[in-house]
Amino acid sequence: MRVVRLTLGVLFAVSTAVLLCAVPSFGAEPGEITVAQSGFGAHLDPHRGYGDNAHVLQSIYDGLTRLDAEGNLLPGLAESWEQLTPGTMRFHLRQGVTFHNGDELTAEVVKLNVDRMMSPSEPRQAYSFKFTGCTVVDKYTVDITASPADPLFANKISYMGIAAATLCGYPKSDQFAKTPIGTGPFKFVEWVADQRIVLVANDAYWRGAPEVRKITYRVIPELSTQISELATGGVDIVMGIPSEFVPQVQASGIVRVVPMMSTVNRVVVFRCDQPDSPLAKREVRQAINHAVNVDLIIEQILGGYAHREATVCHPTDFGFNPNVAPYSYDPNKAKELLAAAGYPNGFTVDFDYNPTSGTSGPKLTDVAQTIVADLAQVGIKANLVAYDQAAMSSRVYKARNVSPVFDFGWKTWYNDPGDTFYGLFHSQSIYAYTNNAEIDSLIIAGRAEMDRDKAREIYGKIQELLFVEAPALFLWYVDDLYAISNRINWTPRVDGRIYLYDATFY
Amino acid sequence: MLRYVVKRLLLYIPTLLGVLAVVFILTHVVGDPSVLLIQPGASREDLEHMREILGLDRPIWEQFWVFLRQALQGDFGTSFWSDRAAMSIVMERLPATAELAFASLLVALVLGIPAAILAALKRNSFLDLSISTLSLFGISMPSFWLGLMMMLVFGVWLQWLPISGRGGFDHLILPAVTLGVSMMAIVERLLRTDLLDVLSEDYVRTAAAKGLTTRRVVLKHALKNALIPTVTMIGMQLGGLLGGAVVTETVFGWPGLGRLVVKSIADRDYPVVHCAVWILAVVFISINLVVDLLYGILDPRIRYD
Repeated sequence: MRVVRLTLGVLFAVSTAVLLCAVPSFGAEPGEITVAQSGFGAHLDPHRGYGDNAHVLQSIYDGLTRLDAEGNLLPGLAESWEQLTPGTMRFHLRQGVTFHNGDELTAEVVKLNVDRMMSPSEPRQAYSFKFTGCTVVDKYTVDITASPADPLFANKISYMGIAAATLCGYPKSDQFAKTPIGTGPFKFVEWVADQRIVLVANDAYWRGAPEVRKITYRVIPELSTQISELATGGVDIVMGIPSEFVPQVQASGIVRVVPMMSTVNRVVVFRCDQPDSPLAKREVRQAINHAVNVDLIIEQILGGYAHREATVCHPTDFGFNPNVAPYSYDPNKAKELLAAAGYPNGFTVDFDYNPTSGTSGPKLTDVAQTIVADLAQVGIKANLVAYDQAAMSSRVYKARNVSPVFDFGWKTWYNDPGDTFYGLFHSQSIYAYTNNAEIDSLIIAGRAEMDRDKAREIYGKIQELLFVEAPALFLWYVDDLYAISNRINWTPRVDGRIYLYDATFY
Repeated sequence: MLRYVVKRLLLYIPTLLGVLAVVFILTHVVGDPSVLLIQPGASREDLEHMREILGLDRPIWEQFWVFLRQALQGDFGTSFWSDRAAMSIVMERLPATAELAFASLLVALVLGIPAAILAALKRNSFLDLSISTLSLFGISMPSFWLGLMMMLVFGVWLQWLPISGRGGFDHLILPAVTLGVSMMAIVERLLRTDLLDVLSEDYVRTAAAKGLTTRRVVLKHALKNALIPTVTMIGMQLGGLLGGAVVTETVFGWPGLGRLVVKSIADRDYPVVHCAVWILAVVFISINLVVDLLYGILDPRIRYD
């Protein structure tokens, strides 16, 4: 009996201790915003590609130019710029801008940044051009040259953050993770590995002090946990809510869900580079586009939160061709096309996919299985094979031994589809499996065309050609679903960056 | 005893070398990270260049030799992704992992041992049946489910405890209880069975006949002898916990080693994977050694020759 009493005593003592110690704080402080992320990137190096730390990097660093929430080009650290020659751009810097450490922004600092971008021995952000030089003209004027000449040069370098001179001496990224110093609206406070990154307002910001005083980015890998935190006010913003969670999130009453059409297109690419494959025939590729009921998948699996694409051009992109409409769902026509191509009884093909890629991640398996079922209806037997991101990437663009049909996605930047066309469908791109001389030459011409009216025309033609040639099964652009606390006034951006400079509080 | 320890330690050398070789081969078999590190739009030259930067273009035996030479000096290189030393990335996760592992062990022992004693003493009673049923639940419940349910009740509804993250003592409670419950159930079932065996031994009856109190008989005489299988099991469980309880860490956003390893494998960040596996191997082996030495303390009949 004494043992029983002893045991109960211990249990009581422990549970009391637990409850007394537990005095958690709930709800957010005024002026502070907490953002949940499933994980952090590895660095805070603005010359290395923004990756998973994009939200943080964009808050700390400014570029010479900047893009607004809709993707329009605006002056950044440079007040103005002019094209000297096709490959050279002159930037006139804003005067009186200071870094978080008090240093002044000068042409010399910009040169150090461009030089660091050019260092050959380290991983750096890849552009469709290479920096070839940088010349300081005077204290606030700098010339940057790049090759080949790119009409979107000013847009593209908006995401190249300008770091303080003290950082540019480090070729590696590790120092940037300890003390990132930019000119941006928020200053770095701390990065606790796999837990949080904390930023505070930069009151000396050249566009004026932000209303948000402090941002905490918290790592919460599990989505259910993120949603529990939302419901109790533990976090204020979560990006990438799956559509089935929307009612539950809205029901909390303190959070709203805002859909934002992403610029990531989803396609199932066909290998057109294997002459013996059925997919080398245009009719077969068209047949597949007719065989899959894409609208039904969007409605049933994605909860309606996606927009059908005709080809890989976003409706807000420069050069979008509204005359190209998506393929109709027509299994009979698909069968006819297959018969005309010499496959009246269909064929068997492997279909590679990565179940975890993209914002509609967990659902990609459902999507892929539905596509397989639709294809079976017209006689095509597709064998689904799943790979993780690294294995899939290696198959697509290193070993280039990916199956004849594979799931892929591509994010379009700067509202310009040129790089997307090239990446997915130009025969020289390591990601592409299309061999079409006409498409190739149009893509090259469109991307390099300095006369934007002509470029618009070329892009329009590319979309018509892609539609007819059907080098992929064109699916959709998903909506990124943001859960945003009702106390915060902020709208998502087209580039998917959670940039809170313009956020205010209700 | 000292000779035994030295002998055991020497035996660990080939084991750890084997671990290094296996982890090196496994990571290199699954493909390299160059494809993940290049930016979309990169060219074939960029890809090759990335492999050069990472040293992955060199012959595999040369890579292994460099790896082995450095690893034996405790240098596992720098992370491909962050340029930080792999060792410091792994070491900064160890405190969180150890904290969670020992806290859940504490939960398991504080609840499991008394429950087992009660169940064994009141064998076949209603109490015994209740405890057995509860521990059956404890073993059967998937930890992610239990974790989410506790989060819902204590975090969302009652708002007594923080939902996720690592901070003060309050942050530790939910993940530690989640992990501790299944271990507690195992402790309870194993210890109850062994206690029942021991309680029917002659020396226990003798002790009771001498007029010792039940408490003294159970705690001094029976428990010590019944504990050996439980200690072995706890050692193995603790090794597993230090290796990271990935699921619980993920549910509660706990910044432990398990998640680091899983992420590093997905990222193909070889240096971090190598270093973490090496540290885990050392920890596991050390716990085994401690468990072996504990046998002798619990049962003086066990000799180390």
